[in-house]
Amino acid sequence: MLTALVLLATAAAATAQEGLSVAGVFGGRFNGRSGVRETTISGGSLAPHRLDLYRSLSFDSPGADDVALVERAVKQDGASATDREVQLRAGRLYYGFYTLPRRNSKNRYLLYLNQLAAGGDKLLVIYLEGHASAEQVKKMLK
Amino acid sequence: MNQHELDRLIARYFDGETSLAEERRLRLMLARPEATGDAADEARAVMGVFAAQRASMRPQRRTHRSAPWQAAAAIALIAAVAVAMLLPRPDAGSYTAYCDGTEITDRDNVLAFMQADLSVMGRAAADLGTSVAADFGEMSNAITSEK
Repeated sequence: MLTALVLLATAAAATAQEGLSVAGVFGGRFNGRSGVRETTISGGSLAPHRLDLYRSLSFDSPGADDVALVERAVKQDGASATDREVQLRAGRLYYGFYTLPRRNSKNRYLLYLNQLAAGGDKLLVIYLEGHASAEQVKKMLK
Repeated sequence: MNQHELDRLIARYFDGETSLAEERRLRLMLARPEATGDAADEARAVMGVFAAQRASMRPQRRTHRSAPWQAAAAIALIAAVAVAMLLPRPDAGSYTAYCDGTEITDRDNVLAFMQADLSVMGRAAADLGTSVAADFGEMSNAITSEK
């Protein structure tokens, strides 16, 4: 029964981004790549922050294809956001904080940062899910 | 207490003629406080009846019965332990990171990755706030200067 519960929890995390374009970015697509880190946390230490799921994908010195892929997915999902804070630099999406439509009674957030648009070398996308408000999520960034 | 019977059994005992049943009966008779006299005392000493006599004179202990509330408390404790074992631990969670092709499942390391990502994002958010404030400041100055 415990195995079944673990499988159910894993399945729930895996389908959390269902319906989102970023689902194609997460999920191990870049697991074998040097300079790429994908982090997935569910439950546990997220509970005090009122979050159930944390997923992030971080690129060090990403290629142009990687940037284009991630940016396209973020823009597609961001188009349906109920609230957004974005900044463009040099004509490229530099920063985005998107509040996505709720799913299964949970709040969802998509965060994006492309330092290459500002002379840096990191590309970062974060997906958060839970009952935390946008303000509570922003407090985590401080 | 039949003194004659007692004397007879004592005599047969010391003659080595008592059956097991007679010895048993003699022990019981000697355990009673009414069995007095030198012969009885000598028989007791030989047969080790003294401890039995003391025991027979002690008030009978009442059988201890657990109060109903004690049984209920024990059942509640067992149930609580069972439930605690079935419930997920408070800090249960899943922590996984793939870093440069290597899977990492150490909780502290994975949390450190999360903190690092959030810090990077936080600095960008802070810069955004500074940038927006600066923009509003310039707009305000521009409007003021036009007046």
